Amino acid sequence: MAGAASALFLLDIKGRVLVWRDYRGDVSAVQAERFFTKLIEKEGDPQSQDPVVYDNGVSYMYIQHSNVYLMTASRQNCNAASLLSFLHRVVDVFKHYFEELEEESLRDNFVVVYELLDEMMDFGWKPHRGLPMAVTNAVSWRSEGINYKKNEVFLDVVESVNILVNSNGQVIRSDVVGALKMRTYLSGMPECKLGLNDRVLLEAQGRATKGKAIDLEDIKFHQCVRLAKFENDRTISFIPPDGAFDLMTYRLSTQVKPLIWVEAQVEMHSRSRVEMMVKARSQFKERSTATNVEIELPVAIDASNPNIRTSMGSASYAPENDALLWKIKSFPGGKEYMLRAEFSLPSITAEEATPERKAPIRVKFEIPYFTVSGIQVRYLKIIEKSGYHALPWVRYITMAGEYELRLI
Amino acid sequence: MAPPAQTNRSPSPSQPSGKSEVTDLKSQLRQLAGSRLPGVDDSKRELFKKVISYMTIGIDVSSVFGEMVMCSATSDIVLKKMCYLYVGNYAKVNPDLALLTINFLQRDCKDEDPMIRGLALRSLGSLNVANLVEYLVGPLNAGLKDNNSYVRIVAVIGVLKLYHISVTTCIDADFPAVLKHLLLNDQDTQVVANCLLALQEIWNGEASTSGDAMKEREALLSKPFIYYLLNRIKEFSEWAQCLVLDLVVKYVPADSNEIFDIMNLLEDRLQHANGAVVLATAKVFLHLTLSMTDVHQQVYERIKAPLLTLVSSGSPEQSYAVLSHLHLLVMRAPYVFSADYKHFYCQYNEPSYVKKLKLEMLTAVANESSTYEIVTELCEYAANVDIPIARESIRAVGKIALQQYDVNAIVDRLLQFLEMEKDYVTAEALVLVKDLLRKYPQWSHDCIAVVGNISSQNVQEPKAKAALIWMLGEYSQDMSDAPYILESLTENWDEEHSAEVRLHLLTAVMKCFFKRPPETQKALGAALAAGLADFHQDVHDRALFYYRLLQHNVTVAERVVNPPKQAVSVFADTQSSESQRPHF
Repeated sequence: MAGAASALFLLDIKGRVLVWRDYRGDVSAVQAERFFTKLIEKEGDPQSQDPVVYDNGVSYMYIQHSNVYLMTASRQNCNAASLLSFLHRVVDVFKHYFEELEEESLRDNFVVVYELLDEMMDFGWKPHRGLPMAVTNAVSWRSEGINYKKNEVFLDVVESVNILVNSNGQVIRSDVVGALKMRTYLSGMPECKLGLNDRVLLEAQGRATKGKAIDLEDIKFHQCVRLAKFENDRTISFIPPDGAFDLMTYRLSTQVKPLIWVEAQVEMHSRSRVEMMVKARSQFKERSTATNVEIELPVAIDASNPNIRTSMGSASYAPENDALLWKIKSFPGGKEYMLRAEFSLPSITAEEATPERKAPIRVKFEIPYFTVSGIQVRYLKIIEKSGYHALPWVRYITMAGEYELRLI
Repeated sequence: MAPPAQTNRSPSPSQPSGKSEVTDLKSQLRQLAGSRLPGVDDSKRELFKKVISYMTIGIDVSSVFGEMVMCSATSDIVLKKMCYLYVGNYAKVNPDLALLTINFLQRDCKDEDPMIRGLALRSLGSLNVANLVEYLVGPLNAGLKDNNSYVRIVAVIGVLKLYHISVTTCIDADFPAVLKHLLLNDQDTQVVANCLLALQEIWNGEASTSGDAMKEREALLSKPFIYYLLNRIKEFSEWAQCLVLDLVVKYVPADSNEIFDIMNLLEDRLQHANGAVVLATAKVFLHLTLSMTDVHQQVYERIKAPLLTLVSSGSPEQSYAVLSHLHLLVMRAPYVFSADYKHFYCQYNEPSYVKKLKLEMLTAVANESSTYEIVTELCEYAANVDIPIARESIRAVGKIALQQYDVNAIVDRLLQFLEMEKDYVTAEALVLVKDLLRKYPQWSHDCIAVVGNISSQNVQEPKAKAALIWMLGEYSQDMSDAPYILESLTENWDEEHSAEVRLHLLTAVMKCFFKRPPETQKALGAALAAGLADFHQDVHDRALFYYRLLQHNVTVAERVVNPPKQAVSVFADTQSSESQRPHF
């Protein structure tokens, strides 16, 4: 039997139960609390504990969000992926209602918490598709009778670039995860058709691809998309839900040069002084500009007295993260900027110094009007029986995802 | 549901603790109960919230039961919900209140608002008061026939709850038959899904004592029913889809046409945004094609892309779940993922439970062409990342070395580890060099050159020390200082805590003696003497055994202690029985 939880717990940072729902009566709060406090007291690092643990006949699955733990317990062989994903859904719902999910917000809103938990899970089983309740018609994600004065659709093509550069400066991993995020404000029951420059489609249509076509590796669609039609002829047709949703996600590997390249050289000047020289280079066309660039450079744990100079942007030492944060508001393509930083190290290094955890350089940025993959929305047609004209707005943006460059 | 276990938390100044507040509440509620003034519902809500808060932190508010019930004669859903929450809590512990609660809820089960009907029915079902179950039957029956799907959804789960409180009441009221009817006929897929869940549990529970239940359970796995579900699967919620997919796994198709039919129907589930659905579908495909080797391979290819995307796109916990699944798959078919090893590289910030699984994946998928790159990456982890992961990475390098034939570059790396002069790195590397030499004695020359330079004082961990000592004994003819190192280790016999190390030391000294008698004589004498005086049974016995062998005949002793050895071809513990069992 899949997915039935015995109980759901919300616990504080020390593992004490704040709120819980008992569904099956076969796992008590006392038992769970005892298990969980034991778990988090173990060996300091909470991150080393597996999120799925079996103890004394009960499987516990938990996630952490700020200073709250959410945990389900089950005596059945349940679908772990499903329950973990459900717990994340619970977090999303709570964040939607309380803006931030943490112990305070739970304490202040017990009633709504119970209500939400009741709606989402009954007897350990997740009955509902989502809130509010589904209406009984064939298109359960959209109700009838929606009306807007101005019919509009916003489509954001958001690509997240992940790269991993090893300590030899080689790019060992590079891929892009993309999402087509839509917000629809459309009346009635509109039929939408989306056209992309997808290679398979273009070739099937016998069009010359002219090198502009893209190969998407793994495509996932929102449930509103008619998958059979896509399998058949690669058209993406759907009746959209009202409001914001992810229409499609995809992944592709890419050999493209890293959009922002950072090199850092660290030199010890004496036993007590270390100097870091950093070069940051934008490797994309000049007509694009990266914004809100943040380069996080790792700094030794015991460094102090920072002295930082940079040719662009501002930098500050964040000792709580053992890092130097270099912020550049606007970084046009084809440019290179430098930063130089000096730190003091304590001159007496302990004999048993803990080995350095050489953290990588991490970069954050956004590049509007830009995609790595070259994906293009060729058209977005909206047809509703009342025949209104809807305005589609399409934006492209590329952001840094997991972007790590190890120190050379 | 009950208030949390810790009821003796000291209340903060803003949280009252006592009877006077409860009495206040009581009178305030009473005042509002009869009022028809506008805005009274808002005031009631405020008071109800207080009651619930007190209840949750452990203050006994059972005395306001009557007032709560009076105040909830309203069409306000929020008030109803709070009231149900309250009565649900106290009915269990207070039998007097239980009957009152049931009456109250039964009335609401007939309310004209379907939401109230549903909520009341759900609360009724959650009461869990064994001797009052007969009061559930009527409302449940009505709920199952309700024209609103929300109420039916709640009623179906209510039947399941009833089953768990009182099997006989549930069966005698013939609920399973009603559920079966809804399962096959209800238009709302959520009702159908709930019936499937409930009936599976009930029939599983009854199958051992009832032939009918067993038959019904088997009927769930009939072709018409399975196809009925498969044809509508898109309409189910994502959780219900997982339930259906789990059922499909149990279905036995009649022939390969059916297998392909089913896979065609489910093909697009692999593109569902919810990882659990993708995993459940993958399980079905793999299970169905177990006996069709070619197709089975194609299935692996097909599910690869969505699974790999899941590894990096969800939360760390979800990555953990997917990687755990992938780990099983990789054990069965390592070559399927061998080109995708880059997906298993570790990000700096990932939690160690994810990193550990990724390391296992890298070890499992490494093949001749990727070994070099993978080992390069693993070496970075050894140098840069936290200690437990560094150790695991070194072990992973060792495991790969033992799996591959072409071990050249790996030997270099292992030796580089030894040159890093970090204690824990040295320790792990020594253990691995030792295993490497057991399988590839032809590398002894290169390894020994570096190992010989390690000062035994820097090696503290028992397994590493034992490994070093083993090498000193085994290769004493090539390591010029072997007898002297062994001699100094023997001098520190009493400080050596690990019996394993002492055992190895005895054997190593013997082996060294056979190859370099004059140099080792002193060490041998000291080791045997220490061994005979050792309080550990095994150490003592081995020393005695060696002593007697030497007394009897040195040549025989050498044949016993140091015979010519064959290289190990496969280490027993790498062939895990796990990978042989069926998992789908």
